[in-house]
Amino acid sequence: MIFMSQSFREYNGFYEDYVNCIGEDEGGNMWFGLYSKGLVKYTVPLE
Amino acid sequence: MKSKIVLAMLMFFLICFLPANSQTDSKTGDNYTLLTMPYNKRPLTLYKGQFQVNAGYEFAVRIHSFDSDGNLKVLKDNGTASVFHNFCLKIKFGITDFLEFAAETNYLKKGIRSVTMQYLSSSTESITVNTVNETRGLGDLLLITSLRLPISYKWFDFGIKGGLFLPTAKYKPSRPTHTITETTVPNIFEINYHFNNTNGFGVPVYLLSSAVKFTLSKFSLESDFTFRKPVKEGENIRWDQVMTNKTFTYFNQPYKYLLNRVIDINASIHFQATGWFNIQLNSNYYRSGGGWTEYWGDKYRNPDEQLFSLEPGFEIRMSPAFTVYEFASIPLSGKNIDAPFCMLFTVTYNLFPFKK
Repeated sequence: MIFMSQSFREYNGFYEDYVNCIGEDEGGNMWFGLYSKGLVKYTVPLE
Repeated sequence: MKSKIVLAMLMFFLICFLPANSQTDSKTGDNYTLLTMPYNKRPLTLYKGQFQVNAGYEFAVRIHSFDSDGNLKVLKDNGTASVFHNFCLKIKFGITDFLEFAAETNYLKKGIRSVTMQYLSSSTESITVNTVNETRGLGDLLLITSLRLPISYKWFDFGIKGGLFLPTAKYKPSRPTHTITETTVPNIFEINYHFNNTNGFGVPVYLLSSAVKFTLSKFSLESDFTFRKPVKEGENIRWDQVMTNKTFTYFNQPYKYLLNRVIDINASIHFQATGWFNIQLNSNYYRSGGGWTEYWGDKYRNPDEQLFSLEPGFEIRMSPAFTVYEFASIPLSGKNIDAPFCMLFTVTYNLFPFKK
């Protein structure tokens, strides 16, 4: 592996993106539709 | 029974000492020999006094993505396919035959256009919304120190690396540059959202890596394992906007985040066809998770990401000073991650600036 720095796999280093839609599943967890992924991603609130 | 014990002790002795004794102490060579050393005879680090510059260009076509269940999604069907351009620069210097220092950074540019949305309120009112998320800018500066076994390379090598990403890059996104395209009809117009992201972690991130290499005649096996973790939580801003009379007013709000921990594993087989030509097949496994991002005051866990790719490539030595590397990356499976097809083209320049 020649290069070890950031690559296309990482969006600007952290999981920041712009939300294009928001919802809630049966368990009451929010989910976000994220622009750059083109897909809806589920996330679980930590607090 | 006694003969078995003696045999077992002999086997143990051979396993322990054969690798060490079969590789002699380091010896110096002339510059030409060292600069033209083929891959299957090179150690994991540079030679003492060797200076190396690597300039790379990575081009990625993002047409597929893996969802949370590992299913392949075709992004071009949604109109969200895009391309990435990543320019990489790395300089390395061999302090001794077993100790190397390196610094690297990159410049990433990408623009992702979302699906166009059209809002119709009546037959005479229509608003079309386009969204572009652009990311461009220098990445953080990565400093790496590498150590390898203090023996000259014959057929086995082992090395470790420790590195730190310094948050030198501008990581806060710039103010959006949204525009409105009007038509001759008053209530029919187009809103073009344009977000301007940057490229950088925003916090120091440390990196630990180990690598091992075996050579058997013209064949070599190399494998490395890299772990990356942020030193602390970061804080950034998120831009939003309000449109009044077709004029945008921008505002931003701070939020906190914790970067994901990343594991990156490579395993490759190499064939040294001639002294100047080496072909390889690498397999790469990437896993990321454990971080969180704050939305509206609450922390949300970042989705775990996984990607497995095959990476065929080759190395051509053009001259003692110049070597060309070319790799392709073909994603085979993954979860929660984009699956772009990538090409990486690298030119390496080598010299011994302080050695005659």
